[in-house]
Amino acid sequence: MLSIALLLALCVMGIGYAAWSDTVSIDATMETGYIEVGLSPGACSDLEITCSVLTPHTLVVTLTNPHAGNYTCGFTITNTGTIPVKIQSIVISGVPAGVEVSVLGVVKGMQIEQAGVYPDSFDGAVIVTVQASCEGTFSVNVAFSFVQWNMYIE
Amino acid sequence: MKRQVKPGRWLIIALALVVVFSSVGITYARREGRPQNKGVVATSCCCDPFTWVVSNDDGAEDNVNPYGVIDPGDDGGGTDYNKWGDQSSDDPSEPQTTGVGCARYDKDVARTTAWISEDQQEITVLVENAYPSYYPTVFFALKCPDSAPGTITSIVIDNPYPDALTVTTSGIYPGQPIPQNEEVTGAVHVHVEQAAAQNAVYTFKVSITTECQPEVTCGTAYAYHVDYGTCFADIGFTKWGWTNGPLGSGSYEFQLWAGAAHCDTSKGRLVGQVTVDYDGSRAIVTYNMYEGNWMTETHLYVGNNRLPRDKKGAETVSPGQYPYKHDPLNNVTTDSYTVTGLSGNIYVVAHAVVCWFE
Repeated sequence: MLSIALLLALCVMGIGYAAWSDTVSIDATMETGYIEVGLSPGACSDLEITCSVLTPHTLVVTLTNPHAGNYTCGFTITNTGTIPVKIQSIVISGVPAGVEVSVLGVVKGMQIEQAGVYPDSFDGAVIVTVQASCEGTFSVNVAFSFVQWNMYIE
Repeated sequence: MKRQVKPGRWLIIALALVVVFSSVGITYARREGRPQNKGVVATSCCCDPFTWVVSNDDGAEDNVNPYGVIDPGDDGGGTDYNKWGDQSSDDPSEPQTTGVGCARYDKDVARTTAWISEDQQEITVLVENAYPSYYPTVFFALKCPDSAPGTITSIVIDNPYPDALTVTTSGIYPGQPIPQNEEVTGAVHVHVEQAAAQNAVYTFKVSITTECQPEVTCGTAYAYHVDYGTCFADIGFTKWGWTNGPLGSGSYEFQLWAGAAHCDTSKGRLVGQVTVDYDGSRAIVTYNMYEGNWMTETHLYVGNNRLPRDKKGAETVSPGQYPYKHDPLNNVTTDSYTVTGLSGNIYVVAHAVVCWFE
């Protein structure tokens, strides 16, 4: 009996396993895209009106000795980044009395796809309406802001 | 009529069994972690851990047996915008659960791909053109060798950019058992935060430590030299093994074979090599294990006769009768003897008990 007991006990010892630890890994690299929107002035309707870009997203429309009437300056917004964007705001400032300014072709909330994907650009125009002829020069700013498309706030 | 057996005989039998099975027990006894002694840690990994990996934004719904489609919705389309074509899908905007669809944006702007290294030790994940609120999931499975159960002992997420990324895991947890011959499935979820910079590269790492319990096999091994080796069977013994000689002064390299019954090396396992440096009076005999093998005991004969002799003066091949022994050894991968007082040509019989993971 003793030998049988020993046999069983030691057989149990013999059926052991070796445990072996190992570390495996998940290695990740994340490359983020970027938002980059270009604003470029286009052609203007008259000699009295010119258009330039002040900051990356601000258009400056300047009138010199305008007569009463409508003046137009075109512009183009182009998404040169890798993320679709939406126009979060269009802010017009510096408008003198007797003058009205509006923007055509682009509106708040408009989506501009990323570079290389249609439509990745839009053409617009700034319309300046002068109520009465005036002498001198004044400028109107039209500032655009853009956000990642899914971060747009209504 | 019952045959009477003397109690003393039972005691001898019992003691013999103790010796025999103790050695078995020592050989197979459970070890914690990798074998503790030098060199053994260099053996190949016990687990072939990652068995598959699936990204939920690589443009393909992956059907993995026996789970079915892992990532429904990863259909290769872009609803309103499709930058990557069929290489990606509408971007996930929440973590995905295995086999269940998740919310997605209506655009395919970013992409996530994942693949397993050739040795199955590493998964590489590449997230491209990511942006705040993008939320891909990478599913995976890992296992231990077919015959071995195991446990996940730790999961460590090394994320140097917590403001930009939130990295979480699901489906696996420390202490989780890995059933024998089965795999466990898990997922890594990546959420790009608002603070993530544009045009930037971020990295993170998830380390998963497992403890598997592969079965250890041990066997007797003998050194063999193709030019000098003589099988024990060829000189009248029933056991297998080789005596090697006669060796003059010089350096020799022997193969160390385990389990080569009848001296048939085609049935054996080449576990290492034995070198002999003999200068005419002193022999240095060194055992070196190949990767994945270790020794628990060695026995050595070096002398002018082809074999050692037992107490009665008869030739013997039993390792216990060899004049030099290191027994037990603590799972070593090298062992060495220096034998002095030699002269003339010598014979070498080098024996070891060698173990390895199946």
